[in-house]
Amino acid sequence: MTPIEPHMFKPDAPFFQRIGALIRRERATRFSGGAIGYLWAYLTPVAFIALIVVSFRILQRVPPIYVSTELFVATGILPYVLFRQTIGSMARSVIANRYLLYFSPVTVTDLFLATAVLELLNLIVTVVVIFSLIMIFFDGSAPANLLGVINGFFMAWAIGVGFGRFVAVLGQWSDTLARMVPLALRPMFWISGIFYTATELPNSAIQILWYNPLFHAIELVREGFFLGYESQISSPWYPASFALVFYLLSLILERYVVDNRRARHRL
Amino acid sequence: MIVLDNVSRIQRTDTGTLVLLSEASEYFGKDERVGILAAPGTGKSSIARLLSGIEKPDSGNIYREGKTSWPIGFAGGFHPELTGAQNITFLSELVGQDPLESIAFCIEFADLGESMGKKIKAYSSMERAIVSYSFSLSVSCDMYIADEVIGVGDPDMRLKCSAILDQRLENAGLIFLSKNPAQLEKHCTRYLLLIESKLVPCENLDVGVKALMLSNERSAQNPVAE
Repeated sequence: MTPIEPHMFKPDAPFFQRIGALIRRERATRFSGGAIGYLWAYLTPVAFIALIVVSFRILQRVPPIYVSTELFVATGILPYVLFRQTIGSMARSVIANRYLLYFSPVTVTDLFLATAVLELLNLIVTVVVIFSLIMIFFDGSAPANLLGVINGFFMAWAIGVGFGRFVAVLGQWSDTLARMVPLALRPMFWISGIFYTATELPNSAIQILWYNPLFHAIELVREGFFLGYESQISSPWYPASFALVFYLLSLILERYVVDNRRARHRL
Repeated sequence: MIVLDNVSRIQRTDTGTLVLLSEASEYFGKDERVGILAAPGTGKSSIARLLSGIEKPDSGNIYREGKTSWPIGFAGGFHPELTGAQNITFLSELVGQDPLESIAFCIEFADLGESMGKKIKAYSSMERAIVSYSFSLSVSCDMYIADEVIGVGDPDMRLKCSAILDQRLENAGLIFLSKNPAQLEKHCTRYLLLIESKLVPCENLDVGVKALMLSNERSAQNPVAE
């Protein structure tokens, strides 16, 4: 018969160990099964950039700022991809990993935090690799204000986390809403200044699009990157408040969903 | 130790709400082996989740001292695309257990050496049950919760399961929820009956089974409006 260690009370896993384990587990499973596995996380934005650069060429569009098309498109697409992927991952992970809640002390907060951190780590790798490649092959100009660039990306991530958490809880509550969110977010690709800047827009459009938090994040990245570029849609406060408000709303909605046993997915 | 203080648990269904547990108060000691007899579909798993601390009650309080297990043999945390060893490593880290200790335990106890490197999706359902069972018992807890599953595998393996569980229970308590009175009798020394959402003491399991049958017939004759 198997010998057993003398019984010893083991404390719960510390917070950071849990988050670390969740991140590594997610990394190991997200793209499992495929041949190139985790490279997908980095290839998706590259393919996105390539596609838009090609359409710029075909349409003979020149970036409104005096920089290479590759660099201009990258500053627009990367915050957008980060935003969309964070929302998607937040909504997916809390449903896909819900059985991990059986393993005390894992909490829903752990699941959300691990996903958010993993998306941030992915982004850092993607951004560094893509901008380095662009600088080497297309355009040698380095960002004018690195902190500004980081701030812009951070805002895109924060909106993804805050709004993503809200969407995730919404998805736990209602199947209809869960399916509507990606549709509702589809126009974000066109209204966030990915292939144009705020300065090109008529005043009437600026008045409306100012309320799109992602537009701010993208323009913040550009203001940081391109020396002398200034945008009318680049307040850090608006996207930060937007993220915070939706984060708090998600907590309230979650309370309602959990307390009233409204979750669609049972444990 | 687990204490239920006036605990209620409801379940929302498509047609309305169902009371699974109504104002239950009970003490489960670390030196006890308590069996809860319940008819199928009356909320055993939900109550197991309450006891394990996975879900909160709708009203009342649950107090816990020491570490409580998840329902023994729960396999939902195993990712099909990861190997047995990878799964156990991640889950051990999540619960604060030494992964190597858990893997060693599973290999030694259940002779899983060869399957540890296989992906879970390639496991037979029996292997899956055995690996999740051994992983549950590789973690030292002060209270073990069992939801219907108390042993897995062929008869020999089941004997080993009983033996290892007995060893664990020298220093821990057990709450075993089942519809099977024979199983409860084998593993428990005190019994409760989950009947009409109430948790009541039960001296004799035969009486308990009859009571459940009567209650079931009664509710079939006069379905309760929900």
